[in-house]
Amino acid sequence: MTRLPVRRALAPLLLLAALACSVEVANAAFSRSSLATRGAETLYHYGFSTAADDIAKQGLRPGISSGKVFTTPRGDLSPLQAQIDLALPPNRGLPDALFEIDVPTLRRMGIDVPASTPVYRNYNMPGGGLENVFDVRIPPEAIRRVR
Amino acid sequence: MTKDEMKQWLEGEIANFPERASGEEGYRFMLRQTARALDADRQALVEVLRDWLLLRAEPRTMLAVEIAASHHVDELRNDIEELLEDVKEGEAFKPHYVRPIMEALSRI
Repeated sequence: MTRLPVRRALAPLLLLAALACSVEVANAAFSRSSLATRGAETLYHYGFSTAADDIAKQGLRPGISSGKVFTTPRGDLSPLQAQIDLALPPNRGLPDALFEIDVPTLRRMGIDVPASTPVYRNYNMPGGGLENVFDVRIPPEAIRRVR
Repeated sequence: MTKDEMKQWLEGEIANFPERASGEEGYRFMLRQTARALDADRQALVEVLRDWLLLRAEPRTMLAVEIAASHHVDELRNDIEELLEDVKEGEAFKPHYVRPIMEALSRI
């Protein structure tokens, strides 16, 4: 008989506790991602060996329809995993080259480094990775081919 | 082809290109497309590229610079030199654009 009123009385407290807990979890996740972004000294671009000479001379140029250069803080993806996690267009083969971008060099050159954001589904690729999307050319001085 | 028709065609080519494809792929594609247009409709293409150069914005302005350099469109040399001055004076793009624009001018 007395249990129901006690439960009712505790319900708001339990709800508050659950909310506090979820806020804490969200804050921790945000904090982790902010730290990851702030601490990322290297970014990566998954591309093609056929474009390597061009990139070495001209840098990474914004895409003609997006106006963006797509990079990621993850440098350990296989070509297939990069295609999937970064939702790359599938009709051109797997990216067979990996380029490393030195973030301190970008900062020295006055180039703003955008925060990491999630990659969403595109071209029937699930996404799920992280990307840092630039709206300016990334100069060759900051780029090194690693694969 | 008139200037408006050329602009419409070029914008259509850009819009239909995969959004997440890299700039290198897009530039290669547009260089192929414009090579054909240059033979048939040079004046219209030059006029559209001149408009893109005046935008002072990625990706069209720098795409126009590359098309002009790769296809040796000498009519646009003055426009690109003016763009270079604007970049040097901090009125367009970041300072690291000076080098690719100068390099493009050397190829025209």
